[in-house]
Amino acid sequence: MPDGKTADLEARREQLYVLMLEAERERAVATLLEFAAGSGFQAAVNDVLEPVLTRIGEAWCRERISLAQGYVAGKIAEDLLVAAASSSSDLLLDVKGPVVIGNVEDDYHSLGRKMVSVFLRAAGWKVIDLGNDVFPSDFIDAALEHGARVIGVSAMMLTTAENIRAVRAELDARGLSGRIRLAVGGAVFKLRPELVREVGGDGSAPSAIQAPGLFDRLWAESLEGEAP
Amino acid sequence: MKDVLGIACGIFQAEMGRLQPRFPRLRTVFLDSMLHMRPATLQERIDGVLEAERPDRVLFIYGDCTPRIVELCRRSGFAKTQGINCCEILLGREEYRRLRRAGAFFFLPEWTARWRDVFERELGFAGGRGVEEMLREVHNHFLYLDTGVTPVPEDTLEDISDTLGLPMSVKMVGVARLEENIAAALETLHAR
Repeated sequence: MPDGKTADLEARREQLYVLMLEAERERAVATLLEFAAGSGFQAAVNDVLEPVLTRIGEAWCRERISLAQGYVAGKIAEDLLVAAASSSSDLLLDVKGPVVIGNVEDDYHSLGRKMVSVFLRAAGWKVIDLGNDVFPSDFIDAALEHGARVIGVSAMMLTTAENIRAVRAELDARGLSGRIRLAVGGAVFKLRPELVREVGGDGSAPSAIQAPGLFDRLWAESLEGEAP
Repeated sequence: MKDVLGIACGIFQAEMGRLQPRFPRLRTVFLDSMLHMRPATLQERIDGVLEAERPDRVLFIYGDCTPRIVELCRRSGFAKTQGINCCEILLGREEYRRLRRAGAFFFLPEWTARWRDVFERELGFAGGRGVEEMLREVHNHFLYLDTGVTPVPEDTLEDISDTLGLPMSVKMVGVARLEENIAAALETLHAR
């Protein structure tokens, strides 16, 4: 039988899940802020938000939730991170990275990329988000400008995913493939996992919630690649 | 003799009604346009049609909405219209990219009439909450692509603009490019 604290956490998660599905953004954020006021922003992220977003992500994978519900869930998480950043919160923001992310040239499906950004930021990564329809050279210029060791490229369709090859080619041409690692993701990679290697990706994650783990690994690989 | 099976997105059903007499060898089946949102299900439906019909030659009048379409069209006996989505098929690559980069969100005739239902039921924006913000994050105007087959729904377009808070304009595109696109794909199909 769960103790009082565990039961309270479970009730809050359930409440937040329902509010997200009903697109009750303000009430959902208020719930999180109320919890953060008592337990801290880090606990609000780790103990309430992340488990609920994981559940949302699983439901998304099974097509049990709509595009709108996924979008609103991301906005709620974003609102909490903005609130944490604008207060003297205990949440560790921008302590890792930076990393560069964006949708590949010709791709305008931004929802997944935004979810990845939210999870990365919640895990302490500083994220440079270049948006939709990003040219290969722009990814690499931004990575060099900001000192990023990981570039995350998102694509939804097979033909746009194949445009990622141009990012790999640009990395190779500039001699940066050991130093800058390439994360790839998007709906098509779930349907065709073999595409990760085919387009020159160094790794992928099956869902946005697993993106921080992937970026940790790729960042470490980049450092190892430069070790004398 | 109708020796080519056309598998088309329902978004083009009215336009294909007009063009069908130009392509006497084409027999077309239409799939629900909302399957665009569910690529795995779209893939299953396509597999189902191919299994039931067992055609020698297939023309997809589709964008790259599921990997299955793109992969099949790399094989003999299959071809598709050029374009990553229905808007690019109607506009051509350069014009689509130009308009998309300028911030356009496109409305096509087939789903404009039921736009509320699409946003609320298909995309799940209960009561329309969140639609406006999501669209404004990446778009700055709406563009209705008039194919000239059905009358421009002026009142509906005004309603969309008022409700979602972005200016709406109409671009006459006709069906000529779609016709050329299909003809070119058929030529490819027969040349293989």
